[in-house]
Amino acid sequence: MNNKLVIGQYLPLDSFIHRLDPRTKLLGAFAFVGIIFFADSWQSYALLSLFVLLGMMISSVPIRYFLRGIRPLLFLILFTTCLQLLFAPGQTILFKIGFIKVTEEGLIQAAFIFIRFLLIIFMSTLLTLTTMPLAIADGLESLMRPLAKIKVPVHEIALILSIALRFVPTLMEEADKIKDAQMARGATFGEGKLKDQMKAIVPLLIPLFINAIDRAEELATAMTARGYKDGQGRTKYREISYGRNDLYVLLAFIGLTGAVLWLS
Amino acid sequence: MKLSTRQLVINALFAAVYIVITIFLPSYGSLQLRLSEMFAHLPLFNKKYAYGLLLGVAIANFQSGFGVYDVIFGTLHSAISLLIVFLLTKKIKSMSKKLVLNSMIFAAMSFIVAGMIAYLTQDWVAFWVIYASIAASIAIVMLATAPIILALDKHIHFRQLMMK
Repeated sequence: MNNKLVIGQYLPLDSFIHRLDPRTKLLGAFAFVGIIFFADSWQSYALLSLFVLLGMMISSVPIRYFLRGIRPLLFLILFTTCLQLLFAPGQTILFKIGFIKVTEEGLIQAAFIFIRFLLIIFMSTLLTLTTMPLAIADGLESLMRPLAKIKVPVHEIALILSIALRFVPTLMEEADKIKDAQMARGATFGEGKLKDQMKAIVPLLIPLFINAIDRAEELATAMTARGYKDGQGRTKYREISYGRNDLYVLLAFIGLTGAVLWLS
Repeated sequence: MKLSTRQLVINALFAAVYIVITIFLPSYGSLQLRLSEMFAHLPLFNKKYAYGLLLGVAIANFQSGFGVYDVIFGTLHSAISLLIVFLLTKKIKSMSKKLVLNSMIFAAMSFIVAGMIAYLTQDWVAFWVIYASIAASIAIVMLATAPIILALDKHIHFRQLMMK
């Protein structure tokens, strides 16, 4: 079947990072952005790079998977780095061509931004490579639970997420079949101008939507027949719980924050 | 906005279609046009489609390089845009006008995503360029797909589908 079927980039391996609670990884990824904000010296960036590199090594995920995460953003990274290099204010001019001048401060700033980009992408890729989308959904639901107090329908959101993730492979297969059927009738996809591409997707979308609606009707009937009402008092099939390893990660992040603050 | 079991499941399946289209029809051209942005028009037919749209965006954004950050800020962008659209389109009857306004608001509000990139990298110099490119890509896709959504509505009847 289609090799693009994997949602996210999850790589099923058995490592320390894979076994962590999804909430720990989500919170860690967020905390990292906060910590990186304080970094403003070579030493602090070196420490953060070491931390991310260590995480990548412990995850046992081959480096090429991380590099793949950079590819779609390569243009953006190079563009912003060059912009900094050429236009960041600075005193020590290294060289000057016309109105463009490269300063030492600009060079340092561009290097910092480049590293920051890489570290954030690697950290975020580390989360998605080592955590199943369903586990991320469970983690997000658990972290969002306090929002239920301000009437955010956390349970409904979690259920929609789970059902959606369950049906992506099914609908993907369906989309593949529809595409083949339409191509056999002479349709072309992913070719030509934007306008032609737009026209080509209508015969793909209508059967896909109708298929999705049929499945939804069947599932809704089945759920109602089994007495589903709402989330109140429901138990969970997949339970998540913090372990000793999550505590180690928490301590590592506290240590990292302290060290970055001290070095900056 | 309370959902019946049926509305909840339809939203889930529509979120799945959003994800499938995002994976199936990858970004187009140098502006990285994401054709699945067209689903942002669905809540104009019935507000209850907002759940499916927001969660579809959230899951699809796990694919992006910024991963979890894009999930939060991309979803926030859609949520805030929809709130503004709901407020502004209350008195507009014409669906075509609503679709155009929706496209403009989603494009204008994309400063949230551009701001996220600028904040994450602490590079505010590039902010305006990133903002302009994201806004342009959203506006192009949403305006170009508005007729497609209207064509789909003739077969699927989005408003009635969510009413039962």
